[in-house]
Amino acid sequence: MLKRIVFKSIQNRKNRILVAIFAVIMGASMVSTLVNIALDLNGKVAKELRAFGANLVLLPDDIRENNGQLISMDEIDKLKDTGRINDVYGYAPYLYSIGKIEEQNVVIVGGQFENIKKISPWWKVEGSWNNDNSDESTIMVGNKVAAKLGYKIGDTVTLNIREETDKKESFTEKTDKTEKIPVDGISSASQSLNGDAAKRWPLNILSEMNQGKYTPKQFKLVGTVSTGGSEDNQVFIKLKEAQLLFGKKAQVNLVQISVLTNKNPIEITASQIEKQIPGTKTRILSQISKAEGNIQDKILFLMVLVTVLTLIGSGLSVMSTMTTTVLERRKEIGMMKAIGAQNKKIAAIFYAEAGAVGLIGGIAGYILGVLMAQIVGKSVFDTFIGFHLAVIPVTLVSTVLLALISSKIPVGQAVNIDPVITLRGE
Amino acid sequence: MEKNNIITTMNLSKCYNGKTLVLDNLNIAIKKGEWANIMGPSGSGKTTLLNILSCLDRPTDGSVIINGTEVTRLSQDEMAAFRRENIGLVFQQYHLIPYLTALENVMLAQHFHSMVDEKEAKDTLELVGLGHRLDHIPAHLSGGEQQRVSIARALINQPAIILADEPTGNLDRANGKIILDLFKKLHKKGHTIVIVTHDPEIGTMGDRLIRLMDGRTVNEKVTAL
Amino acid sequence: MYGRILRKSIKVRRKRIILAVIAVIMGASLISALTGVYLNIEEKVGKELSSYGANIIVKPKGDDISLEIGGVNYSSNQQQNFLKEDELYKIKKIFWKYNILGFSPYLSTVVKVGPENESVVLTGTWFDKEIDIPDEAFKSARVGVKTIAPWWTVDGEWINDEENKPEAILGSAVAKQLENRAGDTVSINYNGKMIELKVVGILHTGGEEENQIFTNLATVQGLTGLQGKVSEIKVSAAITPEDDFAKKDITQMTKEEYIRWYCTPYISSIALQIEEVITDSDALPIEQIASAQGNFIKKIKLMMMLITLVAVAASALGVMTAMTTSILERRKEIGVIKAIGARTNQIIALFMAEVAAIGVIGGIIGYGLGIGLAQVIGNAVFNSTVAINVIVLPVTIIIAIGITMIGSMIPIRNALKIDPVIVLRGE
Repeated sequence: MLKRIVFKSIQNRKNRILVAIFAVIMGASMVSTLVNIALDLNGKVAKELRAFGANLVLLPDDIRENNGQLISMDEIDKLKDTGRINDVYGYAPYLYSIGKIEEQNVVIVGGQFENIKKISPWWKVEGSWNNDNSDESTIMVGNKVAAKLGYKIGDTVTLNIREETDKKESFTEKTDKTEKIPVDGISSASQSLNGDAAKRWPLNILSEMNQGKYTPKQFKLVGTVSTGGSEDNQVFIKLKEAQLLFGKKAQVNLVQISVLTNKNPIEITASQIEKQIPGTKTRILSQISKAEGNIQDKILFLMVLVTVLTLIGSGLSVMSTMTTTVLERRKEIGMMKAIGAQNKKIAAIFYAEAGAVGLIGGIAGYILGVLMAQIVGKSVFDTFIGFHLAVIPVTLVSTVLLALISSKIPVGQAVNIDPVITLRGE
Repeated sequence: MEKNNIITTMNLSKCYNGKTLVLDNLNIAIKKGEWANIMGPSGSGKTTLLNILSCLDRPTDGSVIINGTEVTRLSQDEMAAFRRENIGLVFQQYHLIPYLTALENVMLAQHFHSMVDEKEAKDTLELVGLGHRLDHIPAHLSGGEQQRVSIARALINQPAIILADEPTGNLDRANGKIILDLFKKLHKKGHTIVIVTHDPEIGTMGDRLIRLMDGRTVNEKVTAL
Repeated sequence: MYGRILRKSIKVRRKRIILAVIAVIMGASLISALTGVYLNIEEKVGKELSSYGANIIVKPKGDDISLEIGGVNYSSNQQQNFLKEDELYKIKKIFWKYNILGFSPYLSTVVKVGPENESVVLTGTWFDKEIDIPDEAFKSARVGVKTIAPWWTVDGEWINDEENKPEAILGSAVAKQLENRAGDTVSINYNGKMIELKVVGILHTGGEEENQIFTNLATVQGLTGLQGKVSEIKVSAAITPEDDFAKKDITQMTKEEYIRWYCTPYISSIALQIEEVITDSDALPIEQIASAQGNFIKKIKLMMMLITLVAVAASALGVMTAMTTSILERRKEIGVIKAIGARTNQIIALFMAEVAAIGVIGGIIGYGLGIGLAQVIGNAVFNSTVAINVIVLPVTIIIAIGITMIGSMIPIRNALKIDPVIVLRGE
């Protein structure tokens, strides 16, 4: 009988029921949108913050530094092991040397440009990038180098690259001394096995400047780089080529690593890397990682606050609508009381109706909310918002509860009033 | 008091706001199976008396024993329960649920009482002559038909007493006659009926007429059975 | 008579009126709060992003190619062009002075350090000082490394700019290499000239700064004989993200366009203004920081805008349904009034007067509540107040009144169309 009564009651008041459902949909969709965004937000923001660049640097550890040992390409491949190392967004290995262009000393950087594009997206390149996959010897130069030496895209650049002397190629300890050649105000330090500045990178490169033989190599200038940073003063060639020319086959000085920090703090990824690649050490770039943590926290907090406030606001609004809906039926309630109905049974009819409104409104509102969250996600972050199963029961339970609570007050009041009074007038 | 009195009031008084005395020291006894009419001009307190007898209201003073129970000391919930079990109410304005059919309106009373029994509801509607109008909503029934549904509803839980407040007040002569014939039929079957009315014609029916004036009984006349 | 009816109506239906007003207040406060936050979000997020440090670098024009890795200049003692230290204060006098959050000058040179004469880059700078800015409302400004590199962590003490003692902060890699700790002295050799600096702190950043030794600007100037000169200035500015307009070639702009560009805190216009006050300088955006800041602000702004739109739409519709519901429940009343002879426009006037009152009252209270909520959000998230933007008031009130009236008009109209007999008889 209860089902029959509720069914007929809803049919009778179709318009008002629809309006009530609409009110619930509005509230539920707003909350659903916000919750879906908020749940995914950290991941999205963390990825956006990678645009600030690498937050971790991988270097040879102290022992290797003393031996002049670098990091090998095989070891770097371990960074791809997502099972053992979490949250690596991208990485770019680098190999450095100092060479000459037309008697000017320049820093030559060997890199993998597809990787650089990914983790250092701020590079402004006029012309084109070096193509990692082609065999052509191409070079990109920083804009200051181009300006000073008058280079244009398409020119041929002759790079004089210092040949590596033997002692840097093996991993055993060195004991011989280098000559003291005062060059450009920098003289090499005397040798000692511990912490010799001349062996410590990058100063070891400087102290080797102007020593040894320089071999020229020609490159085609394909692009100029502007960043406002050190790159403006550097020249760039492909890593493989650099490794060959510098005599450091399959080795790099350092790897810049871009780590996502929404799931785990960066220290965890750093220690995972050090564990997987023994003989290396990681340095966390606090400029990037500190600011990043702060901003992530704030943005998430903002979303949470907005969501909570919206929840309260729309909750009260829905309650107001539903309460109004029930208030008008006091006469009906009075009549039922007069014929002897228990309060419980009367309330059951109204709660059932309210529950139905809450449920239908909740389902429709949730779906609408998910759609809107996707629109926001796609417009702002260019990706879809992930699906979180938990939101469904939470939304539905909330809307149904809300509908019930907002009916409780007017129904509770009405069943307690003397039916004589309710039946008589308003 | 006699054992077969189904309603007994003693020193029943009702006062509003400490000033207006609507019922003044009423002593009324109604026997089981009796049809008593309560008449009086506007303001005589007859509706108030009916509300108290229906357990919709409580007196300020005195006692009311219905079907063996002292109802003046019952709580709101207990009154509702008592009403449910013992009293069938018929209102002047019918007070049917507008979106339920005649059958469903009767079944509603069953639902609130105990269990729904569609057959029983149908039979009762047959009894009041509406067997062919079961599926009509009140808006599609005439006033007289609506009142008959109301009576069927009042009967469905086999109450000890049927109380009616101006049952023909909103009806024309023809429909009013149908309703009164129905009451006669019920009376013959042994139901206790108490009707509040200002229609003198009704006053001539039934077993007795209780006149009320200014909250007091006046010259009770016992009409012929 | 209208007044009487209205007053009576409101008195009898107090509860229901309050409910309707609550619905409007809730909707209006959400609209007011979220719009207020959205209008402020660029400034707030921009300020948070300034913790990434300097986004503009000022260098002398016509500089030679330097040997730089990771921001450290290893050929700094070959530099020929310099900037003037006594012009630095002018950076706080440009058109966008209030957007200059801090700056710091640098003068670096390669020196030999310690008993084994190891080569290290020695950098002189300001750490944390107040400089006078003549003829400005704020009179002085805080500048120095602390204002453009807030992530620096120093184990020990910072150097006091005013005292000008011979002190140094060692980068942690240098400290390790030289095996120095705070309290030790480190001997600096520049081309035969020797000075002793007391190590007061060790610097940890994870970056290339750990390979440098930092000391007072004056100390390095004295050591190298470059008094009054600096080799570069790093500036942290609050910027507005570059849009299509900003990317236009300024040489191609009309006068109005140029003024508009100049008066918008794009990083390029701030950089240009710095070039105007520092003689013979090139001010460049540090793209790594600046472009990421701009893009991030853009995204968050867009996100807040969309969220605000969603919330505004949903709130408005929610208010509308509340009003619709309250009118729907009064159909019988409308029928009765019509049956006793009231004319359509009289009925509408009667009801709409009540509705308008609900809209206005709810709107104003909601607006005020929303302002409070915006402050709560601003304080909780960003530890600062949210500027009250005048436009929020009319927007909120108009939406509140507009929505309440639209939400009521439709059901009233419909109710008036129905035959009063039907309304009176049935539900």
